[in-house]
Amino acid sequence: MRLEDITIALRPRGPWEALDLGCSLVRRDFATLMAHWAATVLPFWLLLALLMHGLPEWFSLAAWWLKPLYDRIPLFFLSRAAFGERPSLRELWRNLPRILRPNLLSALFLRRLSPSRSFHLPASQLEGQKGKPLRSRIATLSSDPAGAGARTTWVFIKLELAVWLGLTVLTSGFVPDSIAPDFEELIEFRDAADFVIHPAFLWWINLCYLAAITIVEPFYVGAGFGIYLNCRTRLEGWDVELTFRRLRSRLLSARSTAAILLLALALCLAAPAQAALKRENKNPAPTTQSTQSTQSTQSPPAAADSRPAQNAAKEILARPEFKVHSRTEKQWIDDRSKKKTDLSFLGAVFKVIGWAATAVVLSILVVLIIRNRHLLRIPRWRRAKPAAPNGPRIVMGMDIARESPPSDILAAARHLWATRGPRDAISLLYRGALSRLAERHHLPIEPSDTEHDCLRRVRHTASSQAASYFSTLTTTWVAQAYAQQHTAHAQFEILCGAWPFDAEPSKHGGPQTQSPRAFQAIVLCTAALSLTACNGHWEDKEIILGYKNKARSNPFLAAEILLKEHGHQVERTPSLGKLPPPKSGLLLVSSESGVPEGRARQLLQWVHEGGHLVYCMAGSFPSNDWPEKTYSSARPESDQRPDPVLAKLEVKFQATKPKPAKQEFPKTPYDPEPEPSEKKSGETSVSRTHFGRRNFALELPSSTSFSIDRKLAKNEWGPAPSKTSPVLSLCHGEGRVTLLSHARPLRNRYLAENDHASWLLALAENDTNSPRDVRFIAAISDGFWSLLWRHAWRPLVGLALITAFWLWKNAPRFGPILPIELEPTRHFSEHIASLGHFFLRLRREDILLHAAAREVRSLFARRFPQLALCTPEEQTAHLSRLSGLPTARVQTALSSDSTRQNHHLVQLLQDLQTLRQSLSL
Amino acid sequence: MIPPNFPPPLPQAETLPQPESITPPQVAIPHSAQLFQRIREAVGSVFIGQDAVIHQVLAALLAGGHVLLEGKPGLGKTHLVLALARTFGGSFRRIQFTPDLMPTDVTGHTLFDLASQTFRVRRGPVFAQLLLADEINRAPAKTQSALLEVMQEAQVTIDGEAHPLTPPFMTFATQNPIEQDGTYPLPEAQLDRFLLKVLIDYPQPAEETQIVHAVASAAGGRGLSPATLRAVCTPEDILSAQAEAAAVHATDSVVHYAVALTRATRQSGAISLGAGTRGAISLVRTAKACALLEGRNYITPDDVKTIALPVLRHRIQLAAEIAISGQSVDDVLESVIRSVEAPRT
Repeated sequence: MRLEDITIALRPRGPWEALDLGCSLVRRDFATLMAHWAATVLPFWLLLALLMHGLPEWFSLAAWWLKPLYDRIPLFFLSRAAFGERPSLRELWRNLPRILRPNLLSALFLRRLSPSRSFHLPASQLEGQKGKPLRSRIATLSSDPAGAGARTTWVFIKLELAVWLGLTVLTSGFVPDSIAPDFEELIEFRDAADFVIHPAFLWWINLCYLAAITIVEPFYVGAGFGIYLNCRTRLEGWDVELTFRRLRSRLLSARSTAAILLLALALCLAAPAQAALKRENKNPAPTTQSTQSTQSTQSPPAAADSRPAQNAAKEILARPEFKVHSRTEKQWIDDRSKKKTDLSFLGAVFKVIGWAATAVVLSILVVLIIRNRHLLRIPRWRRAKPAAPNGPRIVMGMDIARESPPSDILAAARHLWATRGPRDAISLLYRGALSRLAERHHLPIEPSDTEHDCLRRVRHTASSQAASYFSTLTTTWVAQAYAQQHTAHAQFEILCGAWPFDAEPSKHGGPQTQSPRAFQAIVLCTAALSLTACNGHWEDKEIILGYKNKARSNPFLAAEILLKEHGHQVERTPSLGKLPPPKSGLLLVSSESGVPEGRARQLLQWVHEGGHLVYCMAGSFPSNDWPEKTYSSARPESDQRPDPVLAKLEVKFQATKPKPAKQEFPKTPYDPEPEPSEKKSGETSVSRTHFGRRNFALELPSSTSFSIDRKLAKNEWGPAPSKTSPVLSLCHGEGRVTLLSHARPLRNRYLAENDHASWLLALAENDTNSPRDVRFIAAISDGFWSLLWRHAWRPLVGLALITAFWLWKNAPRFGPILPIELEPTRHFSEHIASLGHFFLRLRREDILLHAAAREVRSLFARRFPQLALCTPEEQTAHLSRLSGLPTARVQTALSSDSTRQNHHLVQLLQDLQTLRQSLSL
Repeated sequence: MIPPNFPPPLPQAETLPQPESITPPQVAIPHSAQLFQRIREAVGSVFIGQDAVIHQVLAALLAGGHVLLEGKPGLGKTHLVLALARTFGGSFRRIQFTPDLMPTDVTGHTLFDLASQTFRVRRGPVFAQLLLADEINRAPAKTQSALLEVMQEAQVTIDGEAHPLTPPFMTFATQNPIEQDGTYPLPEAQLDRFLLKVLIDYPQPAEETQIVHAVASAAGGRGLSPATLRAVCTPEDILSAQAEAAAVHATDSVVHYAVALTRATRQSGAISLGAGTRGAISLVRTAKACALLEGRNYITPDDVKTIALPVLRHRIQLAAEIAISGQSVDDVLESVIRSVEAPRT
């Protein structure tokens, strides 16, 4: 099979165009394809139907699951028809084992639910690869068509469902009513458990589904094949190769001298340019050179003129989306801190003690003010309204609320005594006493409380003097109210005279001995001392908040805009997913979230084919660049795995812990924040880095750097074997890997500094000066299973061990392995007794009687088989003689099935028990 | 009219009269109260550690009602009744209720006397002044119903002829809260005849020690025997005390309170069957007896409230969901009592 024989026009196509190409291939030879399908797939389905004749409801699922098996038939035909061959049925049958065997199990199980099944099928079947090479090949192919395979699958799933349902509905009119189910019953859920579908109806639905597969599936396979062809055309340049091959054949067939001379002339004309190109390759432009120590094999590069790029970056950062937001807040500036710049440890301790003492003094002051607030002589209009007493307003039918009794209860009571009589007067005294007690002592009174209850609560709550008075008052009130005993006036006067509630201080009241003026003086002096002790002032402080919105969430937004303005195609993707074409692609990848082994291989394979990978070890996460941060490796210390990309490139990465900033102890909320623009010394350093023919000044964290043991080759720039550098650029295959210890030069805030912008543009340049397809990849993550294993392997292993143990413990075995331990059992009679109690409680004594009578009859039949043919009367008489019971009782015991009286039931059961014992003897 | 904000003069604490100088109204202690105090002391000498039970039983005796005693075995239920009978010299009979007990075994029956050729009435054990119906729920409902007329009318009808009982007549029925298998729950009509349902619980440890010591130190374990008691009064004294108790003054407000309590049991959602009018009557009767026992000739709401639990606890039936939830009758009744306002004077 030669490429020149291909029957389709090869050119790079879009995904949907490629899909249409595959469908066109199927349409062109649809009849022949259907013949092949009918010759192979239909017999298989017949065989499957015979095997599953009793399981019509599962047949459609089986046919759907086995699709990868018969997808190979149309692909076999299409792969040959695309190159002008149309295999016959005989060839198909002859090649059938070779078609079906490769990767069948993985297609049926491992890759069955792959969304790109039709797209991966040609790589599996036509290229004949297996295992890891197949996965690598699929990964390479998958990087191109932007998920076209998955989208194709979704489209054809919907098409297949539509065809299936359409056929079912279309042919439903031909289904006999005898096998058609009553769908109304199913919809109304009358009795879903009893809803039965006739098997013939199920087979009819299966037939419709097979017809839908027959119609749709060849097109699905053809669509995947079309995408596969287009992918290879783009990746391998089939169209270019085909053009050259045709040109070569045409030139060879001409064999004319003129053509040869023309070719020689062309070669002569091309020679100087080729020689120049070779010279250029022999002396490549040195690109990266550290100012500390770099390879000296290249000629020293010229300093880059970074001003245009820097100006462009500054213009970008001047846009509204890169506005640096800030807020102003007042801060207390302690003047003493300016004088005492260096605090010893002892001084810091004293300072802490001073703050604690101040807090304690202030707390005491607040408590004193609260407890003696009545001494501050707050004007009457500013006093808070007294809280309503807890408890009800009505007790024993009397309103005891604070506002209910008059303020002068005694005067009002005396007035009532004179006008209405003793009962009302005593009632007012009693009510007033309760009101005062509820107000002052928070007496918890309930509406249902009687006089005795109130007295009990008063004794528990109030002072002894008040309780004693209330006891006497209660006795007087009870005698007056219930015994109709009139209280003497003298007694009433005694009660009024002993009235203790207006003189009694409140239970929650404070001391009254302190002088108010003295207390006020204390408070004023303390406040004045506190104010004079202050040593500082308030200042407006501007707090830099940094970028917001997109500029904050995307740290490379300015870099992306800069590259776009220079004609490059830029895209930011959350995962590796689709890779750009290697020859024109530039990837900026972060290794902070950890790069899996497989992804690293894929990346390096892409680089090997000509791509340029900028691999940042840190600084790619979206975060605020204000204030200045301490730079460190983003990878957690627990993750000690070697970076797979660096390991394959044999590069070492050193990350030293940054020195902690000098901490002024103790740091109080009043200490000023560091200036946002000031840089912590020793954290970053400016390195002279060469790339291409220029060198660039990059400011990078000095705590991380690369080193490489081997001697750098041509076109590679980095440190000498014993030196380190934060930037390293290596060749890998046809492409290049640039390692960057930190993505700081590319971040929004720092892009306009030094030569960062021009260095970024230099990274995007290529030999042909064509636009680059630049991808900023935020993070690379493992697959689901890899992540699960990496983060949860301990629970998984534990679960597996528990499962294995459970299976070992509970799985059935052949033969007893463990001795059967007999637990102590209760006597059978106890169960019988419990059962009897149970039936008796349920009023189901008939069960007991029947069981006992059946037992008696059974024993009788076993002991006296010769009497089995006797009449019941004779049997009853025999039992009566045997047991000594009267015949009537025997007959009643054997025939009664229920009784409404317990003692009758007891008698019946006793008789039956007697009969049973007599038969057992 | 008293000015609202006029501050009264604040008397100094030292000049306040002492509360002890205030003398409450003095009331003469009725004779019946003294009589029953002697009965209480006599019963309490052989029935130790159950003062509340004795008080309630005496209240029931004074009110002329019957008592349903519920307690676990061995708490002296029979002992209490025997002692009470000895204190006033009344006749005492005891019936052990069993499933095969017949109504005529309780009330008596007529039999034909061959010698005299006449029907003669053979009186049953109910013909006594203190009747102890032990484990009354062991007998079927028919036998239990034989006591209905006796308890309500204080007479027995045998063959159509009414035989009045000798007053004072009082029935003590006991039942065991455990061992409910094979028992016949008392019908509501029967329960309503009982004035009080008294619960007997275990005595306090010190008192239990005293009982054990006193009983075990006597020969044959016959210490604290009611037989050692002497009568402190006669049945006639009891009858006069009952008349005196009935004459205790009850104001309308207290009677209203008793009725409100009874009606609240019918309106509570936790109770499926509330107390009837007989419950309110029993409340007032018992309150009067309690007041007399305390030497008062009037009742207060406290008397009603204090006695409400023993009077009402056997007259209500809990709703099914409340019974299933594990709440007891007393818990529900206490919540009902708390929901009723004390009487308006």
